[in-house]
Amino acid sequence: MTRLRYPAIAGTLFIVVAALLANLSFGPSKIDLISVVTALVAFDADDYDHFVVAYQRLPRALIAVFLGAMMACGGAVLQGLTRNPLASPGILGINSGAMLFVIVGAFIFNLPPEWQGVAAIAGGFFGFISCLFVTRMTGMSKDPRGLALILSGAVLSMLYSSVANAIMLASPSRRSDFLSWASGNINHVYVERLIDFWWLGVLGLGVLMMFARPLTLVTLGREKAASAGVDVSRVTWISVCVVVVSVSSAVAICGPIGFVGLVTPHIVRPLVGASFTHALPANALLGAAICLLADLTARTVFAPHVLHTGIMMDLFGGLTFAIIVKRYYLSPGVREASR
Amino acid sequence: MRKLVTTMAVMLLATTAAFAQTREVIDDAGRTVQIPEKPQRIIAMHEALIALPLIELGFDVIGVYGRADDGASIYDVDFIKSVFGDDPSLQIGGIGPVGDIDLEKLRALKPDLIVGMGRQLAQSEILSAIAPVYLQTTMAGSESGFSIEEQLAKAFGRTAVFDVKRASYLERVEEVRASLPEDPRGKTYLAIIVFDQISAVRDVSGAIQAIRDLGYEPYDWANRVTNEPAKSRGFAVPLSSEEFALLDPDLLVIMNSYMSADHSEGGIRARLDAIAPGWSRFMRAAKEDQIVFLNSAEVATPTIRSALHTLAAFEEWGR
Repeated sequence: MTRLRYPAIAGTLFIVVAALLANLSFGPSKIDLISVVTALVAFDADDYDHFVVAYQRLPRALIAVFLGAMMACGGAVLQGLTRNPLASPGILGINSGAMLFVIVGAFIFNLPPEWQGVAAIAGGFFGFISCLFVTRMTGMSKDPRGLALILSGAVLSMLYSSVANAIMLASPSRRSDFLSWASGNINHVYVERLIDFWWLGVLGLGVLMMFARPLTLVTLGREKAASAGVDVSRVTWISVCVVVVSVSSAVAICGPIGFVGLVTPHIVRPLVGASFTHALPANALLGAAICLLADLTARTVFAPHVLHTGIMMDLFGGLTFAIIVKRYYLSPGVREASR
Repeated sequence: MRKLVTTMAVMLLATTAAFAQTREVIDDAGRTVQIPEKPQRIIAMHEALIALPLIELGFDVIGVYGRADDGASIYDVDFIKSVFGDDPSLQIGGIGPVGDIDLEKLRALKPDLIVGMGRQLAQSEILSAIAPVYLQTTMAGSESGFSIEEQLAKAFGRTAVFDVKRASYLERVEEVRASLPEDPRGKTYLAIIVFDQISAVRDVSGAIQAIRDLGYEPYDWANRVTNEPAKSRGFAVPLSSEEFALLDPDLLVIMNSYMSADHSEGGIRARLDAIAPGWSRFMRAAKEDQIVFLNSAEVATPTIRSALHTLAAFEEWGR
């Protein structure tokens, strides 16, 4: 496995760069790679291709990279800490909680855009904590498969999304401003929100990287980690808080987008192993690549119509979710072990 | 006693005769419908495409989708108020939100005619139990400008009313054309509406009627940036934000989404700058300042009044 780690990370880095260049080059009009590179290093205000690259495609690509990195790392940490392969920001109520608070803040309290981001973070915490609370209420919080946690998260996510949609429906005059965002949309128009929130995500990833070793020990076993001198609950709670903040900041930018946080860790784990020292960078890179490719597909498949990236993700996410459920919950070995 | 019986018989006959004053028409869905000779209480199944043309023709429209009982619009845009102004006589009742007809409310309004769109064929059977349903083609792609109003005038015997309004409108067209700095005949136009993306406006609206009557010819955007035909269903078709600035019409007509609160030139420009950065720097019409800004809520309906609002905007631009 160790031999595979660095080639895997290098390979993922290559995929991201390729996806980024493809994202900047392909679109309704094809712009050759030389123009793309020139637009980035020697912008010419009289060249329209440079405008398209610098002001339309690059902002979209940066949002996709940020979103993918935050969601994938968030999913990896949540799957590790809960020891549940289905855990992800989308399933555990963080995305929908953040969305709900943004909608409530904007529609009911008329919050300005910068405060909507703060509302998203508060909503992310609300979503995740309520998920833990409901799991505890079921009396199944010690279930080794973590089924109650997943079910609680799924139910609450649906509930919060429904409430958010109901609020939007009841306020037609503001609805059109949020409809696109609420269905998960990577759009260059949202670049101002990225400028407001990128530092939160980068700071969060930095903190997670600092915690990579103790975090790995915690995910391998709480007793083992404690015996190695790790303050388990401190590491757990700081990591969870960082995940909620960074994921919610991504939701504040382009709405709730699922799938990346769920599936990326499953691809990364066999390649680089369980150590977060390697898994976090690999997840960040692969998550970014997935989002870049999803955005490219959303922009080109039905051009000139641009699909919302959230819709593309949900299309693939449903299928992937079913495969993971079958693999982890319906396989004979797991059923036998859980009896 | 005999007098009383005679009076009652006459009244009954009169009432029956009033009800009997119907005629048979074939609607645009090919259905044969018995409609009142002079409809008094009409329900329109679409505000912008059906209700407004009927109101302009002088019909008493008593109910449309998307309005509260007191006549206030429950949606982002109030087309009746935008097009006809704040007229208290146009307090039209609602029959539920779009897509969810409230049959009880509809029945309570006691309509003598329901006018729907061709695509509402499935609902027409249920609605026919309340009043005769006439279906008007609105999205087949064969309509343009305010032709829907002209067809409704023909179907319901108001051709004379329509002709008078159109004659007055055509006089105004001449007046506005003469006020423009250059003769627009033969020049090309591209009309767009800015939602969360840029869409090219198709044919059905008073705005397009007025622009074409002034003499502008449609710019061939369909072959440039989309595989969708210009003449087809729907009010507008999305354009690529990347290719928008490369289009080369002589005149650019821009409107903001009718759901937008800001229809000012500054508001529309800011929105377009965000979606298609650089457009004003690269598009010829923008560089030559050949841009007319319109309020979509006023001009997007297939009525003569919408066309007149458009002419007013062109006149203002020409000054």
